[in-house]
Amino acid sequence: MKPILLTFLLLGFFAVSFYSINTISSKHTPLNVQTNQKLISMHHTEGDTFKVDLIVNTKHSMYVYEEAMVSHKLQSKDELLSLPIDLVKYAFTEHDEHFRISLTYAMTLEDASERVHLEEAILVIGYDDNKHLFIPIGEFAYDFTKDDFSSLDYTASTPIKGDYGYGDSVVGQCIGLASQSDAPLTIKDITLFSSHVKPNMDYMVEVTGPVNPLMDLETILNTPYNPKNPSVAPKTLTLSPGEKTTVCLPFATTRHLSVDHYPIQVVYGDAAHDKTLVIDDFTYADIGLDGVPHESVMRDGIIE
Amino acid sequence: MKKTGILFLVCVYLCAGPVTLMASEYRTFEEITFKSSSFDLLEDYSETDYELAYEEIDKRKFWGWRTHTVLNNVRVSFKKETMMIIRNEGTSAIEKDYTFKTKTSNATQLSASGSIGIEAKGPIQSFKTGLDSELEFSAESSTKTTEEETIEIAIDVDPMTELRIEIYGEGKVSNGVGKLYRFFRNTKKGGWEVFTLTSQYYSIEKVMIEQ
Repeated sequence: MKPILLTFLLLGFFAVSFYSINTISSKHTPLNVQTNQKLISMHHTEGDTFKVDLIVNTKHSMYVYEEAMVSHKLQSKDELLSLPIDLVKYAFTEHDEHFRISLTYAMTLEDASERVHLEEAILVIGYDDNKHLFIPIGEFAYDFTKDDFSSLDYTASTPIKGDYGYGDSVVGQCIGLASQSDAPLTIKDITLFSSHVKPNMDYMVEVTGPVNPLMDLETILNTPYNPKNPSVAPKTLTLSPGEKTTVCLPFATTRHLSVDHYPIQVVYGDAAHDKTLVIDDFTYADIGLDGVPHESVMRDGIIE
Repeated sequence: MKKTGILFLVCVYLCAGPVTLMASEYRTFEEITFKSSSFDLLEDYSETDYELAYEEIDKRKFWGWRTHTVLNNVRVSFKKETMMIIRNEGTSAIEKDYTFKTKTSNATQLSASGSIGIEAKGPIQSFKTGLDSELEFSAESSTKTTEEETIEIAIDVDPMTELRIEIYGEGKVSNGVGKLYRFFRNTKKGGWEVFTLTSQYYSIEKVMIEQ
């Protein structure tokens, strides 16, 4: 064989070897899974679903593909409570510096005597090689309270946007309420079925003008507000028969959770007894559309 | 003579300034508001704005783009639209679970004026003639698209009432001008704009139907 041909062959061999080593090493990047911890609060209706977005650093791992996922469930941090869920939609999208797996889950629980509540919910995905991914996704609440279909209705429900240093989120709510009663009604409490995110009744104000989600919360409340302040002197509000009003409340938070989808329960009383109005869970915000996750609330997943 | 005529037409075309504006969905929003009133969207650039911006990129170049950025990722708020979801003109209340889908829109959208062009491959937009790679925002436009979002709600709507969803949001705007040079000759010029949607908020409202 001519030396020049031999040289070319050797060069070719080195080039192919270098390319293969590079490709193999890139395909063995350790998988890193992250998610924004958020409040997932739902009120039971037919066909309830919720979505979890996972941010992964590589697409060269079998664990990012739907075909390898064989089971899904939510469980409490202490593993005492476990909730089966069905994956109904899987989407994988490429972004500039990461990949996003969007998982939409359907609830399989049709009835329960009391609220299902996981203060620190862990999403557990089982794979076909018997490994599992455990990733904390925030707080999960699923409530079965029946609406009283009675003397109070809502005319508007407006989220108020804010940022307490861990990304945009919903930080308060304005609700238009209309009494349909012949007797006075007293608004006693408003909740999101969450332990960590609660409307702070101490700061409830009535507003007369229009409100929109981009208005400044403290301007609406007309006072400085610290979301870590617990409620110590909750206000109530009495509506005359047929009266309509709009109330705004800030959310008090005890954890850094992104808030975008939730039901609202209004507890009110008439002369006889307490009743509830439930505004069904609704997506009030799409946050992080430009693909930037909230870095301060990420948690690493673990492949066992 | 013929050559002079063609040259004249080319000059008229190049000097005519922002004749047409090729725009994206964000230009159809009901309101777009900057925090400072001194900031403008490309469509609000005056002839003086263009002239001042072009002065920054007057130096000729053998080949390629010269660009000048006027606004760099400036935050804006917007009111997108009001969607009418249920209209109950009947005599009894509607009580139902309702599902609706929000419109799919690109998180990053582009506009251009003058002789700068935009091309689209499906939902993904880019500036023509390599301007895309000249601007640092361009790489993002190829990947950031929002998914169609299904929103479900169980709701009661009284007689002669309609349910509306108002959509507000926030985004970032970058804009400026560019000139394309070929053999030291300016062959294209115009304005460019990149709008990046960062968040959307949905507000529910039940409104009485006026009779």
